Amino acid sequence: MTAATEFEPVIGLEVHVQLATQSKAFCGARAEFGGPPNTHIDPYTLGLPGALPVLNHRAVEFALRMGLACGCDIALRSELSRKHYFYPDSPKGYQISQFDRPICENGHIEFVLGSERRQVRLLRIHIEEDAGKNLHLAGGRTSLIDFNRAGVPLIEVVSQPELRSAEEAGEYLRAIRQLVRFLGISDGNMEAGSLRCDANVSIRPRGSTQLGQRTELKNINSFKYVQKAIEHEILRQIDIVQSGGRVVMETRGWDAARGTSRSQRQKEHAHDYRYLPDPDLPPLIIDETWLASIAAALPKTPMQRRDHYLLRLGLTPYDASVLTAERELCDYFDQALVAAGVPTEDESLGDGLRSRAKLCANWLSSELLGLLNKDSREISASPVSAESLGELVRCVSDGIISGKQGKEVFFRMYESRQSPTEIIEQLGLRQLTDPTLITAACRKVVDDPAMQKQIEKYKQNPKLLGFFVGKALAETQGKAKPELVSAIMLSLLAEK
Amino acid sequence: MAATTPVCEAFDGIAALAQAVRAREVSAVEVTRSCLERIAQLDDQLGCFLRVDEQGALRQAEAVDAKIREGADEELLLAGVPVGIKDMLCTKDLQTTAASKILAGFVPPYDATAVAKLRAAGAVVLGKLNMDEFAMGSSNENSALRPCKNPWDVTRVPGGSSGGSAAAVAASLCPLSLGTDTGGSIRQPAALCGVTGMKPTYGRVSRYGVIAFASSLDQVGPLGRSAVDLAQALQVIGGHDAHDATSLPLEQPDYLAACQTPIVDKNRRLRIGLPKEFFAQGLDPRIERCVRAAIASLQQEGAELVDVSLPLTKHSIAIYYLIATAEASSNLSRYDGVRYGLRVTPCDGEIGPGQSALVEMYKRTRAAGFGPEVQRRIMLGTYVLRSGYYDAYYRRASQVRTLVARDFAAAFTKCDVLMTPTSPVLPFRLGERLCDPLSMYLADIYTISCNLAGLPGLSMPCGLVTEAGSDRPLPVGVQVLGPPLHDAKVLQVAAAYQRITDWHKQRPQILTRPGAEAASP
Amino acid sequence: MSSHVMGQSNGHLISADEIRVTAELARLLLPESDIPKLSSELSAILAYAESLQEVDVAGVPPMTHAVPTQCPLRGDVAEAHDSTESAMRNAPASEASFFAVPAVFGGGAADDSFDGEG
Repeated sequence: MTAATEFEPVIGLEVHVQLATQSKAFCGARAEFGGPPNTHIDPYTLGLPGALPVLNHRAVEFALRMGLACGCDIALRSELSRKHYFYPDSPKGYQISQFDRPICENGHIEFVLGSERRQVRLLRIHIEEDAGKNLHLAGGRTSLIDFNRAGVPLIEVVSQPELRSAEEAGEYLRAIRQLVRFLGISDGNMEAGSLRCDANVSIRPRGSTQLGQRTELKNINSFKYVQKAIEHEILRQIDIVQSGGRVVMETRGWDAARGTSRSQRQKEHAHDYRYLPDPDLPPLIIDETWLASIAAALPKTPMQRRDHYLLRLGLTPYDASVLTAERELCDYFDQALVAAGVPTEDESLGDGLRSRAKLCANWLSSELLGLLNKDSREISASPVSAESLGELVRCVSDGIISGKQGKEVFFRMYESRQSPTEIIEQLGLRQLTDPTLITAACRKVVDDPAMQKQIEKYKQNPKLLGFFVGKALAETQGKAKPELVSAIMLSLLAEK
Repeated sequence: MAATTPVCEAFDGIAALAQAVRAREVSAVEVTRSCLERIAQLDDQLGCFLRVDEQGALRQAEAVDAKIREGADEELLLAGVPVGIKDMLCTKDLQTTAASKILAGFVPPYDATAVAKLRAAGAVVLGKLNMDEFAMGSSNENSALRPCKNPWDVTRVPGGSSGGSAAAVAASLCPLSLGTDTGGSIRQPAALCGVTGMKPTYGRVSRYGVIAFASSLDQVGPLGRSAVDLAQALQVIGGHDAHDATSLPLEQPDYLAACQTPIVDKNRRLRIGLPKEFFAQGLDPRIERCVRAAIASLQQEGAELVDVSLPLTKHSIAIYYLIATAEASSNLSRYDGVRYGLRVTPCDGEIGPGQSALVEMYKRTRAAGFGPEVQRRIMLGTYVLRSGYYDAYYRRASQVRTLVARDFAAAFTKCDVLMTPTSPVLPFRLGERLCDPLSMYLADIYTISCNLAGLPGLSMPCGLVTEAGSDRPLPVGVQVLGPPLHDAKVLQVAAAYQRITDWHKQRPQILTRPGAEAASP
Repeated sequence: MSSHVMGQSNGHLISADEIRVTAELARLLLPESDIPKLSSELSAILAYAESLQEVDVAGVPPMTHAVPTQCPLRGDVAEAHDSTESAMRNAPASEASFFAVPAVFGGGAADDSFDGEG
């Protein structure tokens, strides 16, 4: 593979994100996934003569959320255009999309690659409508068309050609999935087709600033295959160049079954889309007050939450990654922090609160997620509520119970859905922290005549403190808080 | 011998007819029957209707009568008024084809908003009216289904594209019809058939359910016997529709009240602008005389005449043919034989190597389904939208369109309305101009710029001309154009003219053919 | 080729090849014998439209809609649907509530759609 290192891949992704609206982008037909064939239809969806589009405000709002979250320039005036092509799943012979003036331009997607933080610039984000679905019966002479999906709103997120490896492309795509889920605009489910990806791939000699001839990879519709397909294409192009050939501009379809791609040869001019500003839809004007209210209510992005965890709470990058994998997990964690007594918006946290936050993260990522994973449960179905987990962490941090006891309490919480306080009371685990009672117990030990010999030894060897602490703890049936016992014992022994 | 005179002719306008129906002086069923009868007697030779929905019409009429008996007739502004609908508008459960073979058998599951509003007002839909295929034409000769003829002289064209809508009203087959107007398709046939027809301000009437030709130019409008009838109809079919994103979100003014308002009062005289470019070379002098006489009669009523200029008018046909064909090529992409209408499937032997059965199906379906004029326009429109040509053609045409609209805006600072001829020529003979598309396009010279600027425009009869060697008088139309949203002003001027003249009351004499007599009672 | 379109200084004659490509894009089956006539008709119309090149349009925005309005937005509400049966009644060919067409990958040609569902 040394040859491969002479070349640098240049990759740009076009990612289609299906927006989680109730109705379609330009009509009132249901946007929901699935359903019996041709049931989510109306005159517009079927492209009946005379049917007209009216834009769904929620689709615009979702596109604006994405644009704001990516730091895009938002066009207060954008244009909806028709993109023409004939295909049975396209009911009007054109798709409503955006061409000259998309709703969002520039901006970037941030993500973490290994330990490095990456920022990939975007060209644009635009609104468009989805096509229906063609089904091909194997070996059949007929294709069947279902228009349930036709007209469902999409945003297309187009990156600059700034990705430099298949792995990075994979992370970028995961970052988009994570982002749209955090923003609440899509379920980001690649397998159900809510997230689809086309990749533009080229290679160039390392160090060159010119772009090589690119090919377009289509149909990479699963996370599993994104990296595979791009890697395959990079190697294919390197092979061509090294054997003295030239990469030709073409569209290639990824064949997941064979793990290879094949050319989708086209006639010349087949892709002249003849864009036309849609005469049925006047310019889209974004009201600035509306935009401001969307910005004000914008959910935090995974990267913002990650920064918060790293910088303010002092969590490790690993913990931060685990917690920001899903918005529900983040929300759960933040609620647990509140219950654990970690203030949410204070400027900085002292070491005590930081370690409490760390403890919270540990309980969540190693204990709770472990159990949930074993039971194939989502965090939303956790028998331990965020409040309960936080309370448990507070009990441990405040020394009400020991860490070891905490584990026992936690397992019982998971089994019984009870709160930690209830379980601690039931098991009588509450630590003894009353100084008068602890002093009494300690005094009983040091005043014991049988102990005087040991006390003399202690004066020579202070390491024997533990022995007296152990005796005092035994006096309290192990309930006293060990740190308190040590401190009190130390002062009593000093008096001797 | 003469055909039956339908019941509606006895009433002075559709409002009076509706009033009589609501007062139960005459039933909606009687009115409907008499129209159906006349259609049966005359339409074989005229070809106004593509489809007559006898059963459906009688059912609607019965329902209207029932409502009136129950006293639930308050909203029925058009109770029992028979209407014909251009085949460009979708009618629920009634085949709609845009006079094209490609839509053969298509039955819409929904009514166009304008049709739904007519029905809600108690109007009775008689059937679907003939037109040029997809509204592309100025003579109705591009109908793929049957020719339509001018009731004043059946050897001549009724104009187009709403030829059936104009001819049906002229022949008293129905007192009111709906048409669509993309470059003059209501006003030009109204002029050629001697009826009153109006293209409202763009966005005034919903386009929902109207088969699209050129979406930024198309507008639905009424054709009828007088401006007052059109005012009544527009009141019903106009208004905001949430299903059409280009529908004007405005309340409508009271058009009937406007029709009663004098054009001159103590404070203000109507100013009529005469654009010099509309009285130029190419205008039939007999038409010019009629139009100038019409303007003079309004001047006598106190209107002031103002000379104005619209220098960019000369570009309007070029702009129109680039923009309208571009939009049409896009709008007609949906006719692909997949979901409705005609499909031509190639046989196995017809698919060559490297060809796909699907693509061949598309190409054969569209080639067989669209007529020559429609194909010509799809080709032109596809060409001008191709990358590399877009800027030179479509974009530039759209820019000059802006200048045309500015021209009008400037003219309307000097006058309230413009008055012009509607058509430069009298109804021509069938077949006379078919061979030269460009000369056919030039017949739209006076009507097109109104669509480009989105203005309201109306054509009404203003004279009759008998050609040498003929005994059949031919109608002449005068056009009134107003600024955008000033539909009421246009109707006011037309109504004022029709109060002092009776050209709009002239009817052609139509002889039934011997064979048709058997059909009359 | 015909000369009548060359009257204008920049008369744009559409070549037979351009006609073929355009017909392909428009999905119209065009017999070779129709090409010369169509080429000269379209050329004549475009030659006529050349007059637009004389107009100074510097800084003039294109008018893409007849009346200046802005795009209205509808509420995100799912409404009643059309019946599948009535849709299928209009369909030239259908199978079990699907619209049916000749196989997308049929014949010899590869698919050239933007989003073929392989």
